[in-house]
Amino acid sequence: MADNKIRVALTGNPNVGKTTLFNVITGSKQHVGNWPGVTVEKKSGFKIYKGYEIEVIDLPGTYSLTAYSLDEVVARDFIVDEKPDVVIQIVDATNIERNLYLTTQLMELGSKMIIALNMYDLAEERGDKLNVEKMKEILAMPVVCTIASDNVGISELLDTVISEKQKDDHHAWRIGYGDEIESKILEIEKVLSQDSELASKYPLRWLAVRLLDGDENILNKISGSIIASEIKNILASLDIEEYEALMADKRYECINALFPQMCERCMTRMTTSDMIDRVMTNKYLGIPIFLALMWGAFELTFSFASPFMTIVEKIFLWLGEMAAIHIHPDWLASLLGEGIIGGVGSVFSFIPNIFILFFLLSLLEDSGYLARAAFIVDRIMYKIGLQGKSFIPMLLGFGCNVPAIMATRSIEDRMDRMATIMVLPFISCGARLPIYILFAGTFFSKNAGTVIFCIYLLGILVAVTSAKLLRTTTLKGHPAPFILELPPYRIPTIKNGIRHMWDNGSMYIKKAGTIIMGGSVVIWLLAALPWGVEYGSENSFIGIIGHSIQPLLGPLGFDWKISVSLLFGFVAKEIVVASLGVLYGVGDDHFALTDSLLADPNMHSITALSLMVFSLLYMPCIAVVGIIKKETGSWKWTAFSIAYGLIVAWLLAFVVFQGGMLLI
Amino acid sequence: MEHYSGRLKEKMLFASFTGLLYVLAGSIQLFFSLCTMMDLCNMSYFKSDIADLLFAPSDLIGSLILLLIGSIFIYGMLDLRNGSNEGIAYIYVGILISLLFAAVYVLVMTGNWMDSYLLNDPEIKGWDFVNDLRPAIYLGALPLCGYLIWKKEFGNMNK
Repeated sequence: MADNKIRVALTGNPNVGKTTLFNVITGSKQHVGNWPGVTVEKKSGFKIYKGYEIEVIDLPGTYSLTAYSLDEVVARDFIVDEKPDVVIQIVDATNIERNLYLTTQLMELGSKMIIALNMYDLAEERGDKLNVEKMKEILAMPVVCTIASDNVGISELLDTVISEKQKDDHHAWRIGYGDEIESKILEIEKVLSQDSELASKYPLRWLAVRLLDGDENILNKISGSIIASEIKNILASLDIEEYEALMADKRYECINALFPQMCERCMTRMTTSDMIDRVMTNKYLGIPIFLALMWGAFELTFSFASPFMTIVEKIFLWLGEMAAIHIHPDWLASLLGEGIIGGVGSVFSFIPNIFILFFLLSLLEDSGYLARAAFIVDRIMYKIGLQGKSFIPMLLGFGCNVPAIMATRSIEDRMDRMATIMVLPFISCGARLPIYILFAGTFFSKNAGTVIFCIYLLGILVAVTSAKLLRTTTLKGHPAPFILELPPYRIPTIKNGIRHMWDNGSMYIKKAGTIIMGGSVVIWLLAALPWGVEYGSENSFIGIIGHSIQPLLGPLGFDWKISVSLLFGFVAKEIVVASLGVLYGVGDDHFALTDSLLADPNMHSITALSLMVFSLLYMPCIAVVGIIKKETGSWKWTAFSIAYGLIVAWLLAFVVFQGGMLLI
Repeated sequence: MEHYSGRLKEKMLFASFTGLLYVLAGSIQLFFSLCTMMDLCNMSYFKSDIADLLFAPSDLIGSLILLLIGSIFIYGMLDLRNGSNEGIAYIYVGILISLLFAAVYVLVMTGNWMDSYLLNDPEIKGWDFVNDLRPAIYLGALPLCGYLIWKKEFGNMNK
């Protein structure tokens, strides 16, 4: 690598601010969350600084180099195999003691290391007295104080990166594990040294330590080596579990001896954050508070967004009228008015609701509350066969199921992970929100917010019930214990909230201009063809398709228009609303889609409820199907996910519609 | 120390009074909501004289939220009475949550005002602020006072 190029790896425990630091250095806009497990893949970015081209790699958070989950493997393998020039460990200044465990392991690797003591303002605010100079001296490495969120200490950190790169010596700090273990380390090192390739690739002492730590991944790495069988014989003669525990004890002993010298008054004491947690995670009040906050978010999503929605709706109605008046020939006016403006406009009018929901969720996330939500539900999740960690992807699923399914990589246990992936499509993503707002707003007016909240709750309920079913049948087993570090509460900033809202919400604007517009044109063509038939009539292609699938969905109360819209919703869920916009001829007259739906004699509140339930649960969109295949690596599980969703959706919508009809 | 226990007494009184008011308003609204939902009794007397007076229309979830806020304050008061200073945390969180829900209802009111006055939505023609006034809004005045009085103290809980 050229001398002016530096490759820097950012590592550290989850939720210490790695991605924030990455964004500040590289100017990227990667998603930052106030909970662990936001980064599940490594990401890289560049920074030109003082003539150096610095490549920064943001690694997933890990508590140790003993990689248990997929994201931890990614982090560990990068540092070990890719050998970055400098490793920056971001240490949470409010929790140095816990972060030092990873430090002790990284130091054994012999990499050039820097510690970025992040969030030191919070530590000072609560009265900790950090002795940075002593820390540098004890750890024998540079320590730089940073506040990544405020861009503090970044230049100093980059200067240190450059000076470390220029140094010849690597870190040589090591922990003494006691005579017995040290003799075994030496024995294994000696055997490993016989494989010159291995010796050139990895520090042998580190390999020996990892092997004695029972690291399966390292065992796999040396499985092709000539010394593999000899190593296996040595390990077979030892009680590896006991060695693992003894070595961890030694590391903690070391940390306990060093830590008080680095930080005075850093003893554990009750903070404001802890006090708030007493209430928020209270056995009896925790869940009601969580439900109340979520209800508040949905109520605002509907009620506060309503005028903005009306404005967008009026703009598109006006555009539709203009198209009908000024554009010739008629077919072009119809394509623009009924097809594109009707379809895209129907989705666009819900953009204010989507943005407001994302803004509110982002405030809850940034405050640190959503991490508590995972903690609160852990007890219930454990009972149904999942661990609380599964709830974090579920919360991400409120935005989009694709990143949520990717986030399951942080779940160590394969069975837990598979079960979580299978149930995630039941968590209502933002793309389904327009359907609920349209139908709840039209048929439940004042109670719309509460109806939408109940639909979201139903999604969670079906997800957890399905998880229980899977964990007691095909994916049998006990859920792994869940350890979640609760980040401190922070006052969320409007700036961050707006940024997150834009990051998540802009996706829908892009979709409206691409997939939805394309889908609207296709639906318009199907509604207008063959030439000569009445637009959107039963004799058009779309009418024929609708009528062919309607018998399947008729028992749920859906006519052919609803049936065909749901069919197209497989491409993207927003297309359901766009299709209805096209089929109900929005854009060509003075009526909004809501008015057209109210005027339809086949539509009433029970049908609307049945439709919302079906839309919530039926097959995931094509992007989610793709990611399920990728993450499970199995067509069988992918097909199962689609079929299971369809069956559950059909059954529940049937119960809602038929039950409702009996009651009224 | 005397001053300290005096302040605790203040907070206990505040938590009891605020908690009871929320529980009372929540119970009346819950009763009214359940009766309306189940159409169990003739509500005309009750509605005009009590529910209307409290600006507490039939709203099941709204009533449960009032009860929840009331419970948090009462939980805090009981903790303080039992000698546990953690009760302060309940009062602090109670204040935050009650203000949060007052803000939610004010924003809902703002949305309806915009719909009615700025966009002339025929669906809510003749809308008035009183239509959207809820117990969570006017009861929020008490926690707001508590917040303004103890703001500094809550901020220094970790010191």
